[in-house]
Amino acid sequence: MMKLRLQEKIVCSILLVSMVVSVILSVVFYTNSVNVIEENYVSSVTDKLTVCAGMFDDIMKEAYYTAVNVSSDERVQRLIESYDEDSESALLDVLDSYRGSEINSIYCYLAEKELLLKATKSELVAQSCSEEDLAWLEQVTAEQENPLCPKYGTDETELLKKQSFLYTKPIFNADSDEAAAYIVVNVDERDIFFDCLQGYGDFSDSSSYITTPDGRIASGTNLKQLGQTAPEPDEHVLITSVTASLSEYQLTSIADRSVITGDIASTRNKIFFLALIFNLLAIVPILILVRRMMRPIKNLTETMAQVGQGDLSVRAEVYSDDEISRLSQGFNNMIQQVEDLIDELVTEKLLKKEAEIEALRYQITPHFMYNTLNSIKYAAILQNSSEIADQLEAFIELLQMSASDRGAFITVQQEIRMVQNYVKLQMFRYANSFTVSFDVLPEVEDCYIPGLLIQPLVENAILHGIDLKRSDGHITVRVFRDDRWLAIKVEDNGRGITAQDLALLMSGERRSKFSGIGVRNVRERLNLYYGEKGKLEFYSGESKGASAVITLPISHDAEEYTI
Amino acid sequence: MKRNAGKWIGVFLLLSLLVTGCGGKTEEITEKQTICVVLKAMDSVHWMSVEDGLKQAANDYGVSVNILWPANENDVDTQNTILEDVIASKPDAIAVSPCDSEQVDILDQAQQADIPCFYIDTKAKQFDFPYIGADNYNIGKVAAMAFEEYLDGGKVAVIMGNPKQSTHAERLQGFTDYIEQHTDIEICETEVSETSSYLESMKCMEAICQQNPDAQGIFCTSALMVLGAMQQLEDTGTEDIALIGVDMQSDAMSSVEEGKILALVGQNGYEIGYQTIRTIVQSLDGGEIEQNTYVDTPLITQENVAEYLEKYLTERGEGND
Repeated sequence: MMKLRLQEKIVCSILLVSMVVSVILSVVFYTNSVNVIEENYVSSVTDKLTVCAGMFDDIMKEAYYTAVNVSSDERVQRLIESYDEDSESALLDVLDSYRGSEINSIYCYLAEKELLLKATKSELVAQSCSEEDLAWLEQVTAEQENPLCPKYGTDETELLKKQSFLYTKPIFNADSDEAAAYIVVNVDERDIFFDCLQGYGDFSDSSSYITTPDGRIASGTNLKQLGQTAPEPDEHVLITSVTASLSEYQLTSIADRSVITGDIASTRNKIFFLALIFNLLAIVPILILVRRMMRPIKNLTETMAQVGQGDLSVRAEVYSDDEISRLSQGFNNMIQQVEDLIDELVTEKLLKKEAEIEALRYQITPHFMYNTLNSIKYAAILQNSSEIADQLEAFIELLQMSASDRGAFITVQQEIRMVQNYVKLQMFRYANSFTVSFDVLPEVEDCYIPGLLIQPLVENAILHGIDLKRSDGHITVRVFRDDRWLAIKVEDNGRGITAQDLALLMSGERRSKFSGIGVRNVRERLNLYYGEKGKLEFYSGESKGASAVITLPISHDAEEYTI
Repeated sequence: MKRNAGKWIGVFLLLSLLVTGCGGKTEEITEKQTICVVLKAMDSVHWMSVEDGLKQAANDYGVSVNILWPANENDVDTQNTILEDVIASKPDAIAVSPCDSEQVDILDQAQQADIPCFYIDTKAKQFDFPYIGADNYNIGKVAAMAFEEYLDGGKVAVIMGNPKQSTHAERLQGFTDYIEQHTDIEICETEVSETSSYLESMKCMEAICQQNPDAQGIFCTSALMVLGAMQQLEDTGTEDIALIGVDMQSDAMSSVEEGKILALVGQNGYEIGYQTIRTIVQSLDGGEIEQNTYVDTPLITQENVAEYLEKYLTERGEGND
């Protein structure tokens, strides 16, 4: 199959169908017309032939009557009975008197005397019979099956061998059963030909002939065919035959089919040709129409191509309310959904990446740092400065904790341990100017939470909550639960939070100077891991102090919320 | 695939059309049944009407009919020769109107050849073939009734055609029986015209006028003869002799219209011819037919002649000939 565009396919289909329809129509038209024309032709020729057959029969009837009347004529009978030289001319005159216009000649054959009296158009003559004549006369006078049907043959008694139709009647003597004489009435084939076939009706587009009951051609245009069996017709001719009822001769007309239906065949070809031309001309309007119809599809195709190249912003044009428009509409909706989904996915991915990059950055420093710090710690031990060693150890442990897989979930116990180390360091830094108490229910210690979740809140409380200049700063870290939720509360008795700070905290803008792992990070991670379920809220105390509360679903499985 | 299927269907359609279009077609020549009719003559309008009816019916029923006749009604030998030849030609049926109702021996050959025979117009006693034609006895009766109505007693004469033909004899019989049994009219003379011809009936009329000058009505058993009688009366200027003839033909009817002939007993030749073919075809097709198929024999007088003449001329188109 060739690779065609839809438009071309449609045009080709329309042309093909219309061509097929034209061809079928013209063929049907042609076939019907040919049938009708042939039927009409046959019926008109049949009518003509029927008339001709009637004329033929009339002539034959006249010849027959002549034969009957001559043979029953008393004068003839008398003259024959007492035939002598003198009665010859009398008999010839009688014979001649019967010879009508259509009758070529009347013979009286006196069998006993082998004498033939001939009354022809040109002469009245008596001639003795030669052997050929006798043979012919015997043949002619033989009894025949149907006496109404004329015999047909060559007149052997004439010098000019002419074909003729013959009726013969015997004349009996009063006292004998033997026929004394025969009356032979001849009708010339040429007379019949010109009277019946040629003289009447227009057979110019066909050839016609008369055949004897046994199928020989008795009369026709071609003299050479006379007396011979009629040729078997082939398929290209139309044959019409009428049998003359009295004589039983058959009149046949043969016409070439191509002559009769030639006009209609050329009409058929004309129709073919015109159909071809009109179909070719029709290509232009069809193309225009199809183009117009195809415009929405083309538009849709182009839009699809653009979308395929990644441009999600394009939309297919919707023209009307047909199938193509619905298709375009559907496509547009689909692209809209895809675009929304991609937006969502991209944002999420970016957020996570950002968080991870940030974490990585913080991983590097601690490694270097706690190696260094370990060296310092051992130096401190060597110098018996155990307090510094303790501080360093807490610091190292804190660093190690925070440097270890940051994304991983850790138990509440581990997190509290880390916060304790952190607090130890901060207390050292700020000369024990505050205290931290932990209130962790034993049944929540094995719950998993994201690492470094509480530490930033404690850091926030130390840096911004309590008043470090005074020494009564106190921070309480509480972890408790109900049947589904885990709550972590970091409470201080400091200055409290201004409304402005509270707003900043809630939006997570504020950052810690110490680590950068700020409140915002906590909130983002809660959102990332738990979505709506994880929350971080800040409350300002009535007179002083503030508290930060994290609520999140209880999990005993480290992997449950891992992304 | 679907497109291909469509193409193939198209190609198939085209091919089938072309095949049917080009198929050889030769006209079937159905063998028509042949009926040979041998009439008495073709010398009067009556016989021409019969021939017309025969041909029309043959055309309507799709049979071929060969109509043959001798030179005149009395040529019994020629008719027999023709009949012999007709029988030898073995037609499907023969209808004959015998010239001589006594001499139809030849029809025996037809019976032996199993060719069904019918009588048309005229019967012969010898063979009991179905008859199609007028009820000739009734024709005579109708003529007699017309005289009964027109004349108060008195004498009438008859000119009858060839007594060998049963038609004339039957008409005379019907006429005589009715006159004798129902009326006071006397039949004074019966002239016989052997040839049933125009000229001979003129002579018969002349004879009647001489022998029975007081005859008030003449019944002629054919139209040709009534026209001859009428001619004779006109030639001699004789009046007051009422003429009644037989047969429906335009020249005789015109004379009725002019009042030269009192009445005609109609016998529609066309109808006889037509009914003959119809009956024969029905019989050949195996249908039951009546032994006698009669055509109407109405009395045509000056009062109703216009109607018959009109019908006669339009039906046959004789006026166009």
